[in-house]
Amino acid sequence: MNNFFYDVMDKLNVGIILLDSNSKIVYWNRWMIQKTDLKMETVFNCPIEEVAPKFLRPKYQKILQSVRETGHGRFLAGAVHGSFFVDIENDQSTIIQQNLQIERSLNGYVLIQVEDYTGYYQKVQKMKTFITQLEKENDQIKINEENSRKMAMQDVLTGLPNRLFLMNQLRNKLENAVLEDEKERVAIFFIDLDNLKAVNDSHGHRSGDAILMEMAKRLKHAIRGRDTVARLSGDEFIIVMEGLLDNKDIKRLAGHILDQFIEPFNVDGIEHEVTCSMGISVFPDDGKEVEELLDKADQALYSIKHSGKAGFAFYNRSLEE
Amino acid sequence: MLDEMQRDLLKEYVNVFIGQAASMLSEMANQRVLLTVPEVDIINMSDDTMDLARPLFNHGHIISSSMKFGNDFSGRALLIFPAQKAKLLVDACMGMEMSDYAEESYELIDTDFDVLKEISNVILNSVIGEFSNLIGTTVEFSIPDIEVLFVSQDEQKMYLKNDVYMMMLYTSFELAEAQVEGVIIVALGLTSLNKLLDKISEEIGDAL
Repeated sequence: MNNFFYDVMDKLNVGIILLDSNSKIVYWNRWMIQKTDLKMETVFNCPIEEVAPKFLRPKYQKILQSVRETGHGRFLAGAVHGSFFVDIENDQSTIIQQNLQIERSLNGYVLIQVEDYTGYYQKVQKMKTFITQLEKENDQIKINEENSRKMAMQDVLTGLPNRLFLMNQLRNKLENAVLEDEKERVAIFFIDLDNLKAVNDSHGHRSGDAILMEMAKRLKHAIRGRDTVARLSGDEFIIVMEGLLDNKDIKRLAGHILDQFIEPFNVDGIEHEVTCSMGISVFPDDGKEVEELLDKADQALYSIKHSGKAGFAFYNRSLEE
Repeated sequence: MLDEMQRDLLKEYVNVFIGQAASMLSEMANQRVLLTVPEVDIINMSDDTMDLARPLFNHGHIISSSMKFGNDFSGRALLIFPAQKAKLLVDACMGMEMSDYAEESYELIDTDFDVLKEISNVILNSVIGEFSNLIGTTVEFSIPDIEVLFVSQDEQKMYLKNDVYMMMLYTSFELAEAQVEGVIIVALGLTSLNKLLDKISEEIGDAL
């Protein structure tokens, strides 16, 4: 019967260790021999901590003692405790994963079962690394998408919102203004530089571009946080200002925008006197639709351009006649 | 099933028992783990009108570990967590940075189950071990089995139906960065339950 018993033990696919009441090894199955390359004769009567030094730690001494005294089995997860026994099948760099199941047997003997998850654990680690990599790539894709989205909405030269962005935003703003049904008015300033063509012709497009960039900076400086300035095309800019009460308010702000052009534009040491003209339409007085309001601001701009430039004009119905 | 005094005393015992488990878990997790049982109850599962004091778990996946224990004081002990929260415990015990897991996006892998097995092993050992000490008997038991189940709210009673008397210990795990609610259920036969109640009444008698 004894032979049968040992044969069965040796055929088990888990490590079996039997400790006597003094924690000395009295049995060690073939699985353990193969894992550790330590023969039964070598470990027989050896204190467990000589073979597995981790058991010297008070924490594990206490666990062994507690199992022996109470008979309450204890499971030690390799994921938490690491490995207890040297594993000759894997090199030092491998993270060895062993689960231990410690139970009391008869006569104060303690049975330890050792399960090895090393191969599995490595696969899990690889998978985790792979997932992290995928997450990183995904983040990068998101960043790129965000950049492309911004680029689609942004004017490359000045960094200001472009026509697409402006139309979307203006539509939202007007919808909100309608929904909130306040007495709030929204003013659209259609701005056009008066003499950029002359700068381009005499000093080249680089100077013209520098002026546009500087102009974007000045316009941004002139508006409030909730207002929008966008570059429509060429030397055309739009400013949208909301929360305005009456024309007096709007005139004051228009004057403030024109003030931004008093100072000449300095490009490479050459000072350029640049002025601008501005047509203004007002929501809801002049219309409720984005296209309509832009169109009317454009008509007002056209009128001021023809009456001598460097100033602003409100849209009024006579312009359509 | 319990009067006010019995309930209070039982709660006091259970909190002491669980305190030992907490110190072992703290050692494992390298951080302070607080375990408290703010509510205990004993319910009779054959009583159809019975209602659980609070739902055991939300509709969804749960981690359930259970083990039978036997001798004079015998029954089945279970520890149940929502699966999503189980991952927080695992991460804490493995010294990993905790993150909030979005609903159903958590993934438990085999090594996580090993860690959960050890956590429930430690907790159930303390609770059952100390109950048997209280009653003055010894109970031997092995390692809990762990499984992940999908249980809907309506199925909660059914899930417990096999056992008659249930001692419900609503347990709260407090980790440095998270709180996890679970429940320890001790299913007892009538004989074992009476032993426990007799002991509790005896202690109350002594105190009065």
